[in-house]
Order: sequence, then structure tokens, then C-alpha cells
Amino acid sequence: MQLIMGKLTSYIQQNIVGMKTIRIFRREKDVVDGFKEVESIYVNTAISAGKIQSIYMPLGPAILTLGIALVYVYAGYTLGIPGSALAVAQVGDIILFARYMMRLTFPIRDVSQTLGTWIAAYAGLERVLEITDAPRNVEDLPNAKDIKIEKGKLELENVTFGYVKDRPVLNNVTFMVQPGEKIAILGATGSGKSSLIYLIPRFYDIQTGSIRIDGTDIRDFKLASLRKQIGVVLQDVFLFSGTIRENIAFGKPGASMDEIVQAAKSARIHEFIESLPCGYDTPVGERGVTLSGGQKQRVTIARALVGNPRILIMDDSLSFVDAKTEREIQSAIEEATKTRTTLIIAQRFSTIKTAEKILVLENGSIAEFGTHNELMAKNGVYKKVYETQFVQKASPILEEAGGA
Amino acid sequence: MSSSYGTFSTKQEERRKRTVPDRVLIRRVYEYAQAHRRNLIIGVSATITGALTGLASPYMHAIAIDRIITPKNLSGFIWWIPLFAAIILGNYLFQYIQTYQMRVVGEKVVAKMRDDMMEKLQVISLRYFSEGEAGRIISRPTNDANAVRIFIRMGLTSILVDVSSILGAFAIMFYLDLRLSLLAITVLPIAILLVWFLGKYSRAAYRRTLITTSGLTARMQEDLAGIKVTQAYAQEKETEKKFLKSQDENVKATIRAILIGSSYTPFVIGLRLIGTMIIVFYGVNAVLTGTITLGILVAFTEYQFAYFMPLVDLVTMYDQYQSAMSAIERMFDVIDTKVEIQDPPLERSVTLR
Repeated sequence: MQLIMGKLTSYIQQNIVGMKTIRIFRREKDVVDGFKEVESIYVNTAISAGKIQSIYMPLGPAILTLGIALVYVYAGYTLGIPGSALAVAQVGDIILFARYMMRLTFPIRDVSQTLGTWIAAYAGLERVLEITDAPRNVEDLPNAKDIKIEKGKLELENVTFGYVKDRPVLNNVTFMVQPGEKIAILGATGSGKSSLIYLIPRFYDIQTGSIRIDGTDIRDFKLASLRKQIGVVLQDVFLFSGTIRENIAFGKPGASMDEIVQAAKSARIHEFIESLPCGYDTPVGERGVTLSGGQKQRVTIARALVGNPRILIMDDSLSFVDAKTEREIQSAIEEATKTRTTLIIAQRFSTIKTAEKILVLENGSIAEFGTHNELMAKNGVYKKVYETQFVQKASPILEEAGGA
Repeated sequence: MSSSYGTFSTKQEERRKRTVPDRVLIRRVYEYAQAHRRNLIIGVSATITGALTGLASPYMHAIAIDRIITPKNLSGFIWWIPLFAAIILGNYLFQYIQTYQMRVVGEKVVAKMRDDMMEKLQVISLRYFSEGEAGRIISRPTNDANAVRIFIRMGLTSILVDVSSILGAFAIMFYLDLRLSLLAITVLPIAILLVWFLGKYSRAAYRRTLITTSGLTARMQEDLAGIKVTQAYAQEKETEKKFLKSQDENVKATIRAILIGSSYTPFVIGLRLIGTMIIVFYGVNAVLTGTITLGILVAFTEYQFAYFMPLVDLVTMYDQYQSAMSAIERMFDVIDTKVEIQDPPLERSVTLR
């Protein structure tokens, strides 16, 4: 019953969340038909469950009432035999007895209901414990310290990582990034680009090898200390409901207004924010203004910059944007990455162009690593991608550069 | 996102005042129930008959005491037992039919409404599905539908059972003894006033919990959606703090609501006991002077029980009724949403070459 109920709910959820896709493919009718099918199973299950329940639920009180009748009969009988050892004798006693039995009606009903609740609660508790008992995969090591990142030199040595034990996503990756350098990462879908950059703030722990920042293994940092010093711009732009100011200051609660404005300026969003009715105090999200994808992305860039991190990792995969937005984001990225060690998953040639070095990933291994000129001279994967994806396309919007 | 289109509203529904009168909503739900009229009629009649047969058993006790046990006329049990068993069996049977049929009606009516909602959701403007709103839309065919389902199954049945029990008990009591009945119901107005008055506070407290609960849900949704950002900026503690604050508010509001809600139960039980005392006090005199029999006095105390609790139940049912009505209104809100872009039927669509 709970199972089929969950099925119905998830069907509705999927339908509503995926409404756009359904509309695009004109599958509305199939969806409604499919829903009716799931629903009819649900209704039938609910009714047959109701049938069982309706047999059992009134049974307890009914039996009890019959029991009272028995008391009357027995009492009447003993009353009829004077001097009987079992004589209950007093009418008052009989009434008292019957009334006590009546009082049992509600408790009995309650007990049978509680039993049902108990079963549901037990199943619920199991699921709750499943979450609370889930192991934490990334934790502070006992000797972890707060360490300040001074320069931002990044080294990866023989890094192997997989989400599942024997299926590595990254294989023996080794490279070094000098302080302030910008590395553009290219690669096909599933080549391990995102996994690679998520290893730096320890979203996941590597299986073998080491990742060092300024010569210190990242596992020697306290998690909070490490993450606060690395600016992260994720692929999906997520803003919390609240004001723009709160969103930018998210990573550094209590950041001064100057810091916030500075970050917004670097992210090329300051002027836009100023143009809003309440400026930095304009609420965003459900109850506030709706920002476009490009504006949101620039707010997330500002959010990454507010702590003035030495290291920046960015997943710049915003594909479907117009030329103007593209230029704005581009300029924001350029400004933001100027003095910072940056790993950026690049989709646009303009991003790649400004990077000092390019890292091409293929099936979790480094295929090529070097400057644009070096890689062009190598006549390898990069050159091929460069020529097919960037040169031949006349359009200024170069989406899907890495084939993502 | 504006709701100026006369379409379903999106924000702060729990706070929203209802605009559609109850009778309109009830009539529309009844239209849905028309398709299952047979089930509905059987269910309602079984409910009423069931409640009335339930009332017969105290009277049977009276008969047993007066005509069989007290006069030590044991042979009376020969007809009394089968009759009593038949009443109990009948009561059981009616309850079974009632529970089953009302369940069928509830499930089927809500299923049809859910179908209509889903069909409408496929054609209304995509702007309703913009981010952040999905949760609210989802809750209509799920949470709201579920609330209505349970109300038809339990709430509606309770109302029917309560009303017929009360009226039946009154009728029998007045038939048995007029003076004692009048005495018995003296405490009733006080009880109703008390429940209604305290109920006002309890309803306000209850509505407050709806708001804190939805705040908590929204908080949780956002925290989960933004978990990557939270981790990336090492803000787990701050996020947890905010969550705990929401949670705390909700727990406090709930405890307050329960505190107020349960405060009147002892008063009500106390009043009922006073009622019983009045009955017993005057009843014993009446038995001694021979105006009524002992069996009738016993039956009277049972009937006092039979109408008092349903009455309190009815008053508290008001909350359930109200929230079911809001749920129904929200569901019709979806069903009635205007379609902005009408699609031609598939057969008439043009294939692009």
C-alpha cells in the first residue's frame, strides 16, 4: 500500500518536474494514460486494503459487546441459583462489570490502530536510520589543521579516483599548476573533467596518489579551512532564497559591504545589481526577482570571489546563452581568474584562449597538457578538436567545445 | 510570477483566505460523486443505520436488567440472546458496509479529480512549472488529494455517525423519560460553548503550525537542492543552524497547538461526569419512587455517553472540515486553470518538412 502510494507520488513528481521535456516531445497523452494506469492499480489496492480493514476494524467492539451479553447471561444464571458459590448476587455488581467492559471498547480500538501506526513508524525509522547511519566519506583527519593558502600552487601526483572501487574515473593523473596560472580542461562527456576539479576541495577523496596545495597534502587541511579558501563555481547555478547580498556573502558570513561590492564588480554584476529596485538587498528566488541564467552565473562567480580565494575551480558549462551574455560571462571569468590559480572546465574557445595551459582529458587520463602553441605543434587531439569545433564554426557562440 | 490570470495561486497558500464558498465546493465534489451514487447511497444509509443499531444495545441492557435479571426470569434470555446477537451482528455488518463503501467513494472521487488535475497540468502554460514552484504544484495531486481522500473516508463518516448518534440518543432518551432527559442535557450548552471557545484558540495555533511546517519543508528543499554549494563553501554548520531554527519554530508551534488542543479534554470529561452525576442523583430517586426502572437508569447513563462524545467530536471535526475544504479548493484551482495556448488536436497538426 505504502509502496504503490510512493509510486503514484513519484509519477506525479516526475511529470511535473519533467513537464518541459514532455511538452517538447508531445507525450502528454501517453503521460496521462500511464498515470491512469498507475492510479487504477493504486485505487484497486486501496479499496481491497479497505475491504480487509472494514472487516477487522468493527470486529473488536462487536465481540466485546457479545461478551457483555455473556456476562448478563452468566450473572442472571448465578442470580437464579440462591446460595450458589458463584453467586454474583448484586445487580449493581453486574452493571458495574458490564460498564467496565464497555470501557474496554475504546482502548481495544486504539490498540489495533496503534499497531498499524507502529508498523508504519518502524518502516519509517528504518529509512531514517539508513540516512543517519550512512558513513561520511570525507572527514577531517585527526591531525588536520587550519592552514592558510599563501600562493596557490597546485600539484596532482598519480591521482587515481573512482566513485566505485574498481572502476576508476581518473587514472594516474599527474600535473602541476603554478600560482596564478589558469588551466582550461577539455574532454568529452565522461572523461572525468568534473570529477577532477571536484577532487580539489575534497568533495571526494582520491584512492591513490596525492593532491598538494603549496606543497601540503589537502588531507592535512581541515575540510572547512580548505574549502573556504577555494572558490567554487558549479555547473548548475544555484542561489538560495534571500537577498543578493546574502547570496554573495554565503561563503563568508559577515563579509563587509566593500568586499561584497568588490566581488560583484569582479564578476561584472555590480552595475546590474545597482539597477535593481533594492540594489544588493533585492530578494532572489521564489519570492523575489527572477534572474536570467547569465546573471545568476555571475552572482555565483561573485559568491566564489568574496573570500578572495587563491584557488578557483569553475565548471563553465553554460551552453545555451546569447552572444551578449556570453561576452559578459567571459569578461567576468577573465577578471575573476586574473590573479588566481584556476582550473576551469571550458566549453568556449574564448575561455581556452585566455588560459595559460590546456589539459585534455581522455577516458580519465591526461591526453595532452601544455600551451595552445605546444599542443597545436603536437598535432594531436587538441588540434583536431580545435580545428573541427572552433575554427570551422562561424558562429560566435561556441557551445559544446569539449563535446560535452 | 503573478497570479493575475485567475490561475492557481502559488505563494503562501496556507495563509491564503479561502474565496470559494463551501456549498459551491461541496456541490462540485458531489458532481464527481454522482458517478458512484449507488456506493454513496449505500454507504450513507449503512452509516446512519449502523449508528442507530449501535444505540439499540443500551436499551437491550435495560431490558435485560428490568425484565430478566431483576425479576430472575431466566427464560427471558431465550429470546433476548438471539435478538441481542442479531443487533450486534447487524451493527457489525452495517459498519463493514459503511467503511467499505465510503472508502470506494473516497478513492474513486479523488482519483477522478487527480486525473483531471493531471490532464490539465499537461496543457496549461509552462510558466507554472518554473523553478521553485514544482513543490507546490506537486502537493496538489498528492498531499491535497490525500487529505480529501482521508476526509471523505473518515471525516465525512464521523460527521454522519455523530449526527445520527446524537439525534438517535436524544430521541430514545426523551422517549424513555422526559424529565431525566432535560436534566441530562443541562450541561450540554456549557460543554459546547467551552469547546467552541477553546477551539478558536486551538484553530489559530493549528494554522500557525501549518505555516511553520511549510517553512520547514521549504527550508529543507532548499538545503538539499543547494547542498553542493553549502559543502563547497564549508557552510554546513551555518546551514544546519538555520535549519534547526526552522525546526525549533515548528516543534514549538506544534507543542503549543497540542497543548491548547488537549486542554479542553479534561473539562469536557469533567462536564460529562457532572452530567452523569445529575442523572444518577435524580435517577436513583426516580427508581426508588418507582417512576423509572433500574434498567432505564443504566441505559440513560449509557446514552449520556453516546451523545456527549460525538458532540465534542463534531466540534473538533470543524478543523478537519476546514482544511479539507481548502484542499478541495486548491484542487479545483488546478482543474479550473485557464489554458493559454490551445494545441490543435494531433490529427490536425502540420508536419514540418
